[in-house]
Formats: sequence, structure tokens, C-alpha cells
Amino acid sequence: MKRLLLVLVILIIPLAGCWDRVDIDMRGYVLGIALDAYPPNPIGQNSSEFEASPEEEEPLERMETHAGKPKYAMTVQLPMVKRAQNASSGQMGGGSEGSSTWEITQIGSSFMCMNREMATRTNLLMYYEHLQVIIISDEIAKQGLEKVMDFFVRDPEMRRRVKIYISKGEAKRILDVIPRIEDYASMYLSLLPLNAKKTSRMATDTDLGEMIINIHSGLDFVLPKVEAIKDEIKSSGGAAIKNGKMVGWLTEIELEAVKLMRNLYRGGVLTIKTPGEEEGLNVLEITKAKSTIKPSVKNNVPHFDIRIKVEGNYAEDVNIHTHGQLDMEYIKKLEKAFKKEIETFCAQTIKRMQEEYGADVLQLKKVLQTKTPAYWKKIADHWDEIYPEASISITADVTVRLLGLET
Amino acid sequence: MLSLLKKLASSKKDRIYEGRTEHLKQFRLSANIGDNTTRLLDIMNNSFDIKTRTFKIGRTNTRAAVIYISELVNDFIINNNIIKSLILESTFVTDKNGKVDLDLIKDSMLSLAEVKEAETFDEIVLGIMSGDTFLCIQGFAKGLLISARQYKGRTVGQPNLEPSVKGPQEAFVEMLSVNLGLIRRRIRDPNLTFEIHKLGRRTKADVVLMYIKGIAHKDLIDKIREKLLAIDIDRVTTAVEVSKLMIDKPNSIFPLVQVTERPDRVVAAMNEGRVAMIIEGAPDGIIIPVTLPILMQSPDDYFESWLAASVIRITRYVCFFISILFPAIYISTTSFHPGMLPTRLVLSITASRTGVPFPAVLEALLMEFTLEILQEAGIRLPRVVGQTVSIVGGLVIGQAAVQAGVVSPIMVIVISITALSSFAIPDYSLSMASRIIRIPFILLAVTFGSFGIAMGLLFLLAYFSSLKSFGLSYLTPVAPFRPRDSRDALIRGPLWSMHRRPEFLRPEDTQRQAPTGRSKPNES
Repeated sequence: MKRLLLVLVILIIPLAGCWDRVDIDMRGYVLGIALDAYPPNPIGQNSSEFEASPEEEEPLERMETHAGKPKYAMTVQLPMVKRAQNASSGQMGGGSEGSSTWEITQIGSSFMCMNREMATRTNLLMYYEHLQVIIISDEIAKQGLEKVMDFFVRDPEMRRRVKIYISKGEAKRILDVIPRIEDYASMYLSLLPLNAKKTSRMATDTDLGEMIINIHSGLDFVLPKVEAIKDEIKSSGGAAIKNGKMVGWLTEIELEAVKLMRNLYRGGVLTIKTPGEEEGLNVLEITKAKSTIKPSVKNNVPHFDIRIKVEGNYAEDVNIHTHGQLDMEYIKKLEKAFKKEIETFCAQTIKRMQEEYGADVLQLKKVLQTKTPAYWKKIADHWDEIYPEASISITADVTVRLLGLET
Repeated sequence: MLSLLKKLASSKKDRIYEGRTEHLKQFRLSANIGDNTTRLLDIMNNSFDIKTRTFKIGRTNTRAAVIYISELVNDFIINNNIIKSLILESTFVTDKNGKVDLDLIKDSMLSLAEVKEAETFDEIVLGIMSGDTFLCIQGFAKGLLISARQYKGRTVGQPNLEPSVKGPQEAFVEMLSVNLGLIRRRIRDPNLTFEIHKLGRRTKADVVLMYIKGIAHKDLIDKIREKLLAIDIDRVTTAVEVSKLMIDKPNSIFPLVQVTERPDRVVAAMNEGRVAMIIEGAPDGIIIPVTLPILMQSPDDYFESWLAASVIRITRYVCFFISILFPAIYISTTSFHPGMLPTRLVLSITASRTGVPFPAVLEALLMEFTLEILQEAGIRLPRVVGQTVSIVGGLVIGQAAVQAGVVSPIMVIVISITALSSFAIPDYSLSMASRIIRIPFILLAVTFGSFGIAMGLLFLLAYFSSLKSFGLSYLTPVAPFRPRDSRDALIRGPLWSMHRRPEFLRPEDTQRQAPTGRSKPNES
């Protein structure tokens, strides 16, 4: 009896029938996804005029839908592994022209449907666990992120560490770029934020998980902006997102200010005019920045006291002679100038955010919620009106540490 | 299946008894040497290598005969110390009346260390068969068995299966006496006990149980002796064979005794309270009992700094797991969970696999099979053509198969690392076991993915814990956990910290060295 049981147990194994085994080369590893609106909406034109786009042009990209009009175009980037490998290890060094990726665009109403429709066009099993980036066109972002991101959050194959970018113009164009030192644009984009400790003009910590947390807790935030020309990609500045919708772009310097105040600063450079000179520039390499936001309530109007502590090294001077000048007195003077510069551009940024966008990209809402819950309860429903009126004071404190080899 | 085997075994049980020589016990020597010699030769079927020489003793008329097997004795001693003395010297061998006296011959004549009287035929035949020389003299109903054995065989050489970088480089040979000498030389302790038993109805091989009285636990010795004596078989040729008849779980693929060819290992084991066994005609010693951590020890561990040795030992454990699991893990991660791998690795594996016609499992089994062929052929191939294996194996199977697109280069790497790892396991039987359980793990991986591997590992762990080597749990001192003894398990602790013998062997003398067994550092 015991033996029979054992045999039965062993017989279960082949019953599993290799379960969901798929050989590694049978999967299509989706590295990047670009989301565009369909039909594309050139600036200044109403989308309804393009409703009847010629069907013959892209017959394969269209699909039948049970319900809903085709509103989106999803482009996935699949690596053409064999070609990529040959180009890198092949004969007489690379230089081989042509893309090593395959971008498949599908037009449809829901992303799940589009995703499955692509199975009719590739012989590979689409696999999203290695997804690196999702690039969203500004057009879609302006319509609202939450509307389109549901599939990417719900699907079990999606990873929360997928980087999110907002593209200026068509998102598909970014994926079409062939970077010179990397085979895949998606891979290139996913590694780009590693440079954030060298420059502060690039938004970081903006992956899918972070974005969804922000959206669900009703916070405003900044997503990185990405632009591309034929063979180059640049990510600097950002898109301000308010209530899950993009409200406008942040310039590079504005992004720096936001990162400084939100305590996300990892390193960057600050340039000022030499105090008391016509031409000279002084450059500070910021190595450490820490900000604290203290809320207080005066006359039912919230006040925020932002203190930024910055440490850095004296990195460069341009067009002036500081030889022998860099004594304590001079450095104190410089520190004061740096401090003033920080305070100025931070204040300008906040002003624009408050008045033009009304976007609380500093997430002051969270500060109020945690620090002054009683007050928050009173104003919770009116935050959008109160935010532009809030008074914000910025105090910076700059310390110059190292001077370098020149004195 | 198993019961069928048992039935087959029991049905043929009776036939073993044909080789019995016990019935010879009832026959005793007669006073007539003519009768005696013909009878002896008759019992031994007149084989041509059994030599008889009859002669007259001294100047008396008394006839005598020596019978011996020419290949097992020292001719020089027989010619000079037995035949020559008996023929030339008559004064010492005759009593006052001038009659030949057997006792005189034994006591005053034969200048050989081992001489004993024998009367019954079973004793005499066994003596002759073992290489003794039988001397019988006309008029006496008893004879003398004179030991002038000289077995021919190899000289002591280097260990083949358990080589070490430093330390003794001697290995056992096929001659029991040499082997015993190798051990005696290393322990000058009167408590080192050699117990001789004869095993095999036909082979009657000398089996020697070795232990140090006062260290090895009495119960253990009794248990082993009891099991040894219970064996009833017609032939044994090696100690491993004997041990297979003694272990509790004969179906275990993991070794439940330690096989070694190194006398220094036997000595070290006996000093810990274990028992060794060695047999005439085979160069392998058996050490009982054994645990998995003991099998992972190598003699080299004790010749290096304990930190270095510990790192190497941990590496060995890792290799053990690689040897069992690596192909399975490769298959499960690539075919079930490619999300677990870094993206670039996935892409490069994918690139290396494009165009390979078989699924990863088939590829793995194919390479695994090829590897087994290579290993088996490598043992079998004559040394002269041995190079062929490395060329055929390395070039044809490695490179050509990849270029032809039959297997992917990454699979060649996986299998090579697996094969290398299996050779890093110090014990050959354990390494063999790891090669065998690799296959079920591959099959589990392909049906259930990592889940299957986890199941397999759990099963393996349970199996390990259920194994016992002569009453000792196979995973001691890890499970059951014995902190003090773990100093020589996963790591090799400093020698001064191991001042007690391993407790799990229950040695009668627990103290190995003074608690501060090292010499004090110089104070300057």
C-alpha cells in the first residue's frame, strides 16, 4: 500500500507537464514601452480633425475592439538579440548600421488588449519582468496619468522599479533612438539616472511604484522630462504633475530648486557671478544638501520655513584671478553670495509653481498633514485654493569646504 | 522490486556452502608421510604450483617432506633454513637414542620466528593456502606449519584518489602486512589493537579490525565485530565490499563508511575514536562510522592556517551544492523565472541560445550524458591513448558542438563548472552520489521550476537526517547540533581549540590535549 502511494506520488510529477516552462530564447523581453495618444495631436490642432486617418498606411497596427475607440498607441521595444550580439562581438568592430531593436506599435483602446494583440504579430512570448522604462508622451500626461497607468500597475509581470519618463512630443521617437554606446535606448534611459550624483538637473527616484504612491495619496510630483534627436537622448528638467495630470514643464534650474527643497539633492553645481566684479564667475560643487521644512499657521494662512544646509567644494573660477585671494574673508563673502543665489532661484521657482501651475511639487501638503494635523483637517478640502496663498520663506546656509589645489 | 531482489537472493542461499572446508577437521594426520602428502595434494587438487620436497633428515633414515605454494613463500628461507638445516645437521634433531624428535626440531633447529604444530587437515590446508610451509616427518602424527611467507606486490606508492599537497604521501598497498606496518609505525601505543578475522568461505581473507583501546567506545567495537562476524559469504576481495554487507541502509547512494587509502587518515580517525578495517589483498581501508561533515574534510585542511583551511572547506561545501544543483538552477531560472536574472545576463543567455534546436533540459541532459561518457571512458582508456579523451572531449564536444549550434556555449559553461565542482568534493563516493542526484534535480527543475528544486532539497535534507552510519546520525555535528564538535565541521577550528575528541563519537578518553595545548608565545 505504502509502495503504491509512493508510485502515485511519483506519477504526479509528469502530470504537471512542465507547467509554464518557456525556454529563455522563446520570450520577447520588452525593454521599453512608449505611450502616445492616437491620433497624434499636433500643437494647435483639434484631434477630431484627424479622426479619419488613412487606414491603409498602418493596417497591422490597428485592431478591432469590443468596445471603445482606439485612443492610444503603445510601442514596445523588443531586443533583436542575435543582431545586437553580432554587432558587438562581430567582425572588425561595430559600426554596423541599423537598429538592434524592434519597435512594435499597436493602436487600441485598452493596453491589455493591445498587449495581447501584439501576440498576433510576434512569434515570441511578451515578457515584461525586464521592462526598464515607460515613456509617456506629454499629450497623454496632460490628459491624466492615472487613466493610462492602471494596466502597468495591476499586471503581475510589471516591476515597481520601472523608470517613468515624460517625453516632449511623441514618445515613440525616444525608443527609436539608437544610442552610440548601448544597443537599446530603454537600457540607456534606465541607467541615465545613475548620473544624478553628478548633476542635479535630472529628476530621480521616479519609478512606477513611487509614482503610484504619489498619485494614490493625492500628492503632486515631478517626473523627468526626456527629449531626443536622431541618435541622442537627453533627460533634464521635469514635468510637474498635479492631481495626476501634467500641468507644465520645469526648467533645469527649477528642477534643481525643487530637488534642493525636497531633500532629493544628491550633488550638483552652482554658479554665481563673482561679488563685486564685472565678468568673473565662481562655481561651487555641492556635495551635501539637506533641507528641513517647518510649517506654522498665522491668521489661518500656512507659513513654511524652508532651511537648506549646503556644503560643497570650491570647484572653479572663471575670468577672475583669485590667486592668493582665497582667504577666510573672501570665502565668507562667497558663501554669502552662494546663499543668496540659492534663496533667489528657489523663491522664483516656488513662485512660478504657486502662481502659474498651482502644483504643490514640494509636497507641502504632506508636511502639513504630518506636522499640523488639526489645521489640515480644517483646510483639507480647500488646499488647492490655499496653496497659492501660502507664504514660504527660504533660508540657505552654505559652507565651502575644500578649495582645490589653486589658492 | 526490492522484495523481488531479496527473494532471488534467498533462493540461492544454500549453494554458498559448497565451498566449506570444515569437514576436513575430522581428518587427522597419520604417521606415514607418504599418505599425508598424497592426501594433502589430493585435497588441493594437485595444482602445479604446490611444491613437495621429500628428503632424509641428517644421516638418519627418517624421511621428511615440505609442502608449500611456491609463489607465496620465500624460497631462500625454505632452502637454507629448513631443507638445508634438516639435511645437513643431524646432531640437533636427534635425541639420545639417535631418533628424530619433532619437538627438538621445532625448538632448537628451525631458526624461524613463527612455527606451530598442526594435526588436522583443515588447519594444514589453510596454512598452506595462506603461504605457510608445512613440514611433516615420518613417524609423527603431527607436523609443523612454518611461516616463511613472502607475498609479492607493489611497493608503497602515492595516494591516487586522495592526493594532498602537503603531509604524508604514502598510500596503502595490496599487502596487509605492509599496511599494518604503515599504521603501527605512526602510533607507538600498546593500546593500538589489531583484531584478525577470517572472512569468506572460499577466500578466507584476513580482515583486520583496528582501534585504539581506551579511545574507541566499546559498544561501537562490539557492534562492528558482531556485524562483521555475521557475514556469511563465499568471497570478499575488498574492505569496501565487506562494509557494504555491514551498513544499515544498503540502498543509500551516500557513503555510510569512509573509504581511504591514506594510513595517516586511518591513524587520525582512530585517534578520534573511530574504528578502521583493512583486508588482505586490497589497498583500501574502511573507517567507521562516518558523517557528511567528516566526508567533506581533506587531509590538507590540517596543514594550513585554520582561517585558510576554513575558507577552503566552505568552498568545498559550496561546490557540493553546485555539483548537485547548478544545472537544475540554470534550467529553472532560464525557463521559469528569467525575471530573477539581471537584464543584460538574460539578453546574453538568450543570444547564446538562439538557434539551439533543443530545450534547455534536453541540452543539459545531453551534456550531462556526454560528461558521464567522458569520465567513464577516461577511467577505462589505456594511458597510452589517454590523451585522446582530452582532445575529443575538450575540442570536439566543447567547441565543435557549440559551433555546430547543437548546444549553447552557456550550457557548456554550466556543465563544466558542475563537473569541476564535483571533483572538488574530497570523497570519491560522495562525489559520485552528487553526480547521480543531479539528474532528479534537473527533472524536478524542469517540471516545477524553483519550487521543484526547493521540494527536492527538502527531501534531500530529510533523507540526510534519516541516514545513520552505525548508529551515528549522518549530519552530526550539525544536526543534532553539537556546538563543541562543530569546530571541525563547516569550518576547521584552530587545533588548540579542539582539545577534546569529538563528543559524538563517544570516545572513552575525551581529552585530546591539555586545555592550553599549545606552547606559550614568547614574551619579550
